[in-house]
Amino acid sequence: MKHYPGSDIKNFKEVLHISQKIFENIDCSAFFSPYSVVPIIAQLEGLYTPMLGSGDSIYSIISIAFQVEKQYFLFRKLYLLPLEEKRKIIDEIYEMIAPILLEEEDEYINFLVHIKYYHELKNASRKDVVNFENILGDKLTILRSFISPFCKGKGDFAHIAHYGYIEDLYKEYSFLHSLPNSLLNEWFKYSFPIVNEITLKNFNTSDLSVKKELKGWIIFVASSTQQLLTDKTLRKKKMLQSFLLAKKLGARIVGMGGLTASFTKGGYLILDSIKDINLTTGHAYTIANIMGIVNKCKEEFKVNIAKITVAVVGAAGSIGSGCVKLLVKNGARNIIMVDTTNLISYQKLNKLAAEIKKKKKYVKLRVSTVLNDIKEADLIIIATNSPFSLVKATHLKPGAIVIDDSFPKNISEKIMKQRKDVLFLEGGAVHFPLTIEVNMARNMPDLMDAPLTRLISCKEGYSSFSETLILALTDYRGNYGVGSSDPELAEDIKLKADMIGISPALLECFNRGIDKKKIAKILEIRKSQNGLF
Amino acid sequence: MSKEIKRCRRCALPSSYPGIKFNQRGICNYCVYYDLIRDRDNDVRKYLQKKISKIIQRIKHRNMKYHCIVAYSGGKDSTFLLYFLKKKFGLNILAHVLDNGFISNQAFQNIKKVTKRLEIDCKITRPPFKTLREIFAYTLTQKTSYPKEILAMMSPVCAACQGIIFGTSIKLALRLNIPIMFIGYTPGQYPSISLENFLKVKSNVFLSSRVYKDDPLDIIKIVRDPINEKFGSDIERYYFRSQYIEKNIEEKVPSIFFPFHFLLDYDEKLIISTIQKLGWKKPEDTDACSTNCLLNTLGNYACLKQLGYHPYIGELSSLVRENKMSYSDAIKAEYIDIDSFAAEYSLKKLKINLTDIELVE
Repeated sequence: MKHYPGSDIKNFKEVLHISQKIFENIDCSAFFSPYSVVPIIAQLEGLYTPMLGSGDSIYSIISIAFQVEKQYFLFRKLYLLPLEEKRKIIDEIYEMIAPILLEEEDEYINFLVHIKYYHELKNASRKDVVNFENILGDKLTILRSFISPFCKGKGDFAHIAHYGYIEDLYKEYSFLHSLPNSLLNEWFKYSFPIVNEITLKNFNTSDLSVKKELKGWIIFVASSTQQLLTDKTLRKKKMLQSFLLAKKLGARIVGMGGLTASFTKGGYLILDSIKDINLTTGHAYTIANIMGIVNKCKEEFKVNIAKITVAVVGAAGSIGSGCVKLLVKNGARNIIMVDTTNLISYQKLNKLAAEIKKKKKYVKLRVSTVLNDIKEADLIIIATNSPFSLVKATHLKPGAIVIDDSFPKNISEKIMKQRKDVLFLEGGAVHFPLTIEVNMARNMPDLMDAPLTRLISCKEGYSSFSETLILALTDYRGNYGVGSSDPELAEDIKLKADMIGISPALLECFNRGIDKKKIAKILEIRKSQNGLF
Repeated sequence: MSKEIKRCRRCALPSSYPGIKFNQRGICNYCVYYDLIRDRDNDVRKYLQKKISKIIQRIKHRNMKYHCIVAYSGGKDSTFLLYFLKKKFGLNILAHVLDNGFISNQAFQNIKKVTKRLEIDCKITRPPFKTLREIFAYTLTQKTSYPKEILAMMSPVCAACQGIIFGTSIKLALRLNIPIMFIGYTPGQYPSISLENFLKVKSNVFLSSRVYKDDPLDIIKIVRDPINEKFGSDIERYYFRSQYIEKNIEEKVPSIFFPFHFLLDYDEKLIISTIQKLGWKKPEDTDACSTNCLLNTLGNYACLKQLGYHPYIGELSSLVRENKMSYSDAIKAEYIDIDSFAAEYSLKKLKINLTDIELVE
């Protein structure tokens, strides 16, 4: 075989050898994991040019320009490599770090040989395959030694998320389009987590002269919601692998995005298997954020929560049930609790209704398994984990306000176009202080349901991610929210968020603001119905 | 800007500029970085000259009403760009002008004269001024979420306007099936950030459904997002959604080339003398940093007051570094006359006061 897949091992060695020499002569204290140095290697290679203004980002070579200055000739050598080769080397380094940290190098070699490079190796002789395995083994050995000084185990947080839709994965890995179906499933099974290292600077503290910085990782499980929902074995394997990676990287607290909390039984699955790890589900701040949006609606639309009908879809779930409890606490008197999942959910709803009734007899609670029942509701909170849209256009009353906190989103853009007489709001969007600076080691496009670059462009993130950051910023030690949601924790974390300046991103949907015309239209409909006012 | 501010001894970047550090000789990290990549940049530039010329030559032979669209401001650089593309390559060009409500009268006369003289079709887009006023007043009088990398190159109000230029021009190119789009930034405005990107995606900006992990920033998205979040669907038609482009649209999205100085050696004197022959005159009502927009003065003032540096200093210092401008001229160009006609006109038209700008924390 003339050319093995991936980069030429000579070039791979050369890049790491030269980079090592450069790093030996500079102060590397700011780099807090192997992922910190990959963008610098890419810039040393000339694969990309950092932007003006990036001079204090650890991911920009401009921040270490004075130290690299004397090593120009080493640096020049890297630039002379062909572009394609540079690209391959950087991709390989990114990919190999996770298997090295997880000590799963053999599995990674198998994954490459039998799945990822199936096309390239399908006609290769046994000898060639063995040679290729040896090359991969050598690359891993070289990289393991290179990254060891950067494995410092000092991060403030990790946040575990997963892909919403399979299309997102195809965008990240275009070669998936060419894999035969049988291997596609294998790829999804054996692929490794994708790590995005991130730093966030300039958070206010109680001492106004002191600004706080966070360093951490967003770890994406390379599987879609539907795959994880339907395959229990896959779910367990992928979840454990990602949390273990967070621990190996050295995260002080590990948060859960998307449906990670549901997939890990509120974190208990992880605590049973991995020792010395601190977790939080993200549900406390998610509930607090939804209530923040409800309160904003109360102000904007002059809603009297005691007089309207509120529906919670997914009310048997952790977030849904937490919302019901807080709605009651905030004065809601007429609530429809809907959950279409199964008999157990129905039983949970009845139990919840009985609990509330015991304390507040005057609250009218209706338990339902039929979505049609939400037709009566003026305000609807949706907190489901269905990979498909459950709520249809026909389920909504004119002038209704819908807060969708589902992952993946339950309300589709199609429904929004069909029902212009309904106000759709995003339940999970959170604003960070505008003064913060966000730097990421690696670019990736906005996934359909997890817009990462909005952190940079709008200083906005999701509520579960915010919970992870809030706990990291307040130096929280131990597990925070584990298991089912607790409304008291929602109130506690809201106080913490207020101190930092983290607040609900009010009145927006699908990443766009709600304009005044829309608000006026909903007000007009409601007035004509003598509804909310 | 006060003279006491510490500046890089070589390029004039002030100590308030994002991410700046100085060595013992008083030289900044941006200058040192420039020296490190200068050779590399020249290589890339030569390579791109060849590549882009080839692309243009290939497209030129196609029978199309327009081979390219140029986002045309009437300023000196985009005027020269029109001339250069027409004279050197003989392209069929559509000049697209965004009338943001603050284009100087002289710039409009320049647009008219130059396009007539070069026999280039010109299309002017005029979004409702009410919408523009809201966007511009917001970006001048409130803190926006634009990241420091964007604000190192332009003021927030310019960023919002750039998003509309990108958005309306791309949409027009899509509508008319125009395969290439040029933007006439000066060398300092976009010093090489997009060059290597071009090698990967044949376009200087992130316009794709695919992932390019090394793109520094998706500029179109980043200038659009904060405005989209604030104003919602009211402004959507003027901005372009650069990610998750539908498949059928993705194939038609134009390749975007900027800055155009990678096609030639940038010489400001030559540029001005050339375009003057086409009837172009420098407007007298705009400030030293703009040859078309009256709002620029307020944008510069807002940036200086709110962020502590002049938004053009990144661009000016790049020109100084490349020996295309003197140190003292860069500092002179920073002067903001807040009592000028341009500033007063803009304040009045936007219905805001200077204190609204000054009080932003």
